Amino acid sequence: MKRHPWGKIPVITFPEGFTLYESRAICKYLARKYSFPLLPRDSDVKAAALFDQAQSAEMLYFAEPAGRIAFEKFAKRFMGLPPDDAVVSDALRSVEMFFDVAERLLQHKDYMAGKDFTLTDIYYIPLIQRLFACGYGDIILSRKAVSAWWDRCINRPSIQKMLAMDKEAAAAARK
Amino acid sequence: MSKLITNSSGLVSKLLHSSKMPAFTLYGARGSTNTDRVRLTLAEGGFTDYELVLLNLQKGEQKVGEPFFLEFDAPYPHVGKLKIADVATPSPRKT
Repeated sequence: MKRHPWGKIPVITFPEGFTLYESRAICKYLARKYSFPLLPRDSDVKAAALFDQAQSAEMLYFAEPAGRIAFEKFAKRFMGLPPDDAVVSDALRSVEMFFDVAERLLQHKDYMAGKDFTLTDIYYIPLIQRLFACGYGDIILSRKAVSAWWDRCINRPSIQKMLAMDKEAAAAARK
Repeated sequence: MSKLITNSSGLVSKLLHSSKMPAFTLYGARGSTNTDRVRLTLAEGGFTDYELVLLNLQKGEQKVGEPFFLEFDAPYPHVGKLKIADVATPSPRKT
């Protein structure tokens, strides 16, 4: 609560006192502050607008239903609660419909915001991984263009390295 | 190098007195998709000069402490420090 008014994570704090919450705002701030090549150039107004458009689509049409699935099928397990199957099937339908459209869009571009890999592509990764962990990987793998996009994202060396390290850490924690 | 701190007491200040102050501290949780979004961004940017503090959500560690004051993004700068509760409370509709 000291750092996030709704008592959630993630939050970043800087030594001089600057505090920021909400994962996408944090990602964007860090990319700007440290010049990560993950955002369109500020001078390219159209590319910046397409990035914002892709970010809204991810947040509203994908992360919302995918987050519901993750909560029902993953988080609730740790709380000792059963999933609400009606919520899961409704959310699954939304995610399927989302990727039907994404499948068409990704036939004309390599990444969600255009020809370059951006933060928007990163935003998808954790929840798609969660869908795989819940047994719904087929939503991605059954769609050719979506599956190829997913491979392009997770085969990036730094991302592959982090995911491998997390997998090892999770395996070690289970021992 | 990023430094990982798992901290069940929620007190981290003493750990910040290490030899070199990291650029910032990221508070998150293990297995949190929202935290991983930020970690992936940092990994992709090749940035490691930060401290990662993993809170235990089941113990409610993220809810510890008094609500903080917005000093940097208060919508009305002349008000100065603005308590977030004031922002979150909807004002009565003007007719």
